[in-house]
Amino acid sequence: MFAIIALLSIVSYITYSMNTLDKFNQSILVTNQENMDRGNEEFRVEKVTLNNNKFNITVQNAGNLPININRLWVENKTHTDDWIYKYDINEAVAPGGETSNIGQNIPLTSLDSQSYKIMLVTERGNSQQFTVNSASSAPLKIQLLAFPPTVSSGFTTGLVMLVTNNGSGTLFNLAPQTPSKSSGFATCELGPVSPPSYDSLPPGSTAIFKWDLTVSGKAPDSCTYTAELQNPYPGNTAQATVTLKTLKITSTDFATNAGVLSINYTSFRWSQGGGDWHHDWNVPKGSNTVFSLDLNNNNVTGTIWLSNSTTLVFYSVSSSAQVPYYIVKNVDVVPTPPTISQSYTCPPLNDYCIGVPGNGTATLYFAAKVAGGNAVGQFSNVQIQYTGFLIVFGKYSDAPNDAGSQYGQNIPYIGLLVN
Amino acid sequence: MRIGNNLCNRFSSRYHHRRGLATIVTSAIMLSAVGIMGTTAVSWSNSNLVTHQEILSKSISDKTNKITEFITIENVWAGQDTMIPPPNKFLNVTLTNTGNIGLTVTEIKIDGITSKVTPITDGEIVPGRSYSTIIYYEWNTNDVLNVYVTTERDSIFRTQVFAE
Repeated sequence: MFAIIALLSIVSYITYSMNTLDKFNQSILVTNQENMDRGNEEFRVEKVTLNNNKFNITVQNAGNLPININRLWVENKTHTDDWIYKYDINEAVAPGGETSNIGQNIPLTSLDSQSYKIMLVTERGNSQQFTVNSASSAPLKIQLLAFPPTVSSGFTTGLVMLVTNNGSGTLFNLAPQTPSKSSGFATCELGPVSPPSYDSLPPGSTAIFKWDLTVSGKAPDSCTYTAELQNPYPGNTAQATVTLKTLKITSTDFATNAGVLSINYTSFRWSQGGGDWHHDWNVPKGSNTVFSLDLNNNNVTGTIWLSNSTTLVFYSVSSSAQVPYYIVKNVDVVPTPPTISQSYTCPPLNDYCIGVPGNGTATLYFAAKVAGGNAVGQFSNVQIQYTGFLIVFGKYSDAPNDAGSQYGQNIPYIGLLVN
Repeated sequence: MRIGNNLCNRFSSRYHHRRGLATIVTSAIMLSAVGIMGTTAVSWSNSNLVTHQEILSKSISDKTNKITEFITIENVWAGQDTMIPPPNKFLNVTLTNTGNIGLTVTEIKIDGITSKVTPITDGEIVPGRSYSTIIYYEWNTNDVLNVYVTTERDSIFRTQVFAE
């Protein structure tokens, strides 16, 4: 009897102990799961803007668990009192989802001109801290560069401001002030900034702002500009100087600066007949085409006689296609398609037919498929962008049949869209 | 001779009667002793088991509560009360109970250039709620401060902050 009672007591004790240990085990499992969930929670701040003087924060849930953001801390880093407010919010974000308008419903008026440190806290206790308009919170690495730093009067240079986030937090709403001219006598005209702002700048990243700067005056006048960010950290500025230089293109050194031969780009024209010359870059495909342009001989002392190998060549920018148009003496653009009225032949050499006098200009025509030929070339029947350039082969001599000294030059910068 | 036999018979009968009684009494005494001893042993063992159950129950409960409680040191910001003369710098500590059971914060320790332990007397926090307190501590800008929060169950939660 007593043995049975003792046995029952022991059995009930063991059962109770097992149940208790099982409950404890369950508690450990639940706690572990909660800790794992806490560790696996992952969210990031995608964007922060100010709408109607209220924060509009966009948060993305980058983890696999649903999160609930239930606290928003805002610290004013500009205000002398350095106040901090805590707001209870309730924003659920599904895994992989996004939620916006966080901060739109809190009774806080935010200003573009002030910087804020913001922290979002989730229900599980994880937080994300970031700063807004916060260039003032710590000095950033700022550089201001002029590309190029020396220009001729009337020319435009680029002022480039590089801002590197050398802090540990992401910066939001980063915008530069318009650089101020701090010294110099040149007349400088600053264009608009591009881009006007960066929504965010993660640590280690660099924001690039660019202004066009047109400088005029007398060399060696200059303009020195000082740039800084909106809501800047005191003294966190950068400077750049643009200096005027003299553009020396005179009759004696024009050849040095612009090349012995140059073309007048505004004289470039093409025709597919019908009596019309066109100055645009849009050429219909699959039709006979002739070209004309004015060639300047910047050598003041001698005439250059042009070889029949002188060619206007067009290369496709997207394929290996190339279309040469050889020099001819003249073309007839009245009929459609246009024709070569005078091929590039002449006595006594059947070459070097056209000469461009020293410091003079000649109008040239290009149409032939081959050197000295009569057949007019054409572009293929597909739409292609072409880059074109003139390859001049010639010789400086007194007459076409003199030996003279050969001279060749490539003159680029012609573009056509054949479609 | 008959007298002698009768006397002998009489003595023998009495002896047998007395032997039977002694057996009964002895048996009764032994049964009683065994009953008392058994009851005592069973009572003692039951009492022991109950005591052990209570100890186990309390121990498990304490441990379960201790591993279940969780505090997030949500924010610690450094400030200065310019309305009073120095020393007037302080740390505002906000704690949130992100566990499933209520807890009581008993102590907050700030460990930086100097160390300061502040007893907390009103640190009861229900799950999901926060508790904020101001601790006067003379911090310097960019000090690295370790903040330790101790609960009634002797759990210690720690974080590190920059004073700025």
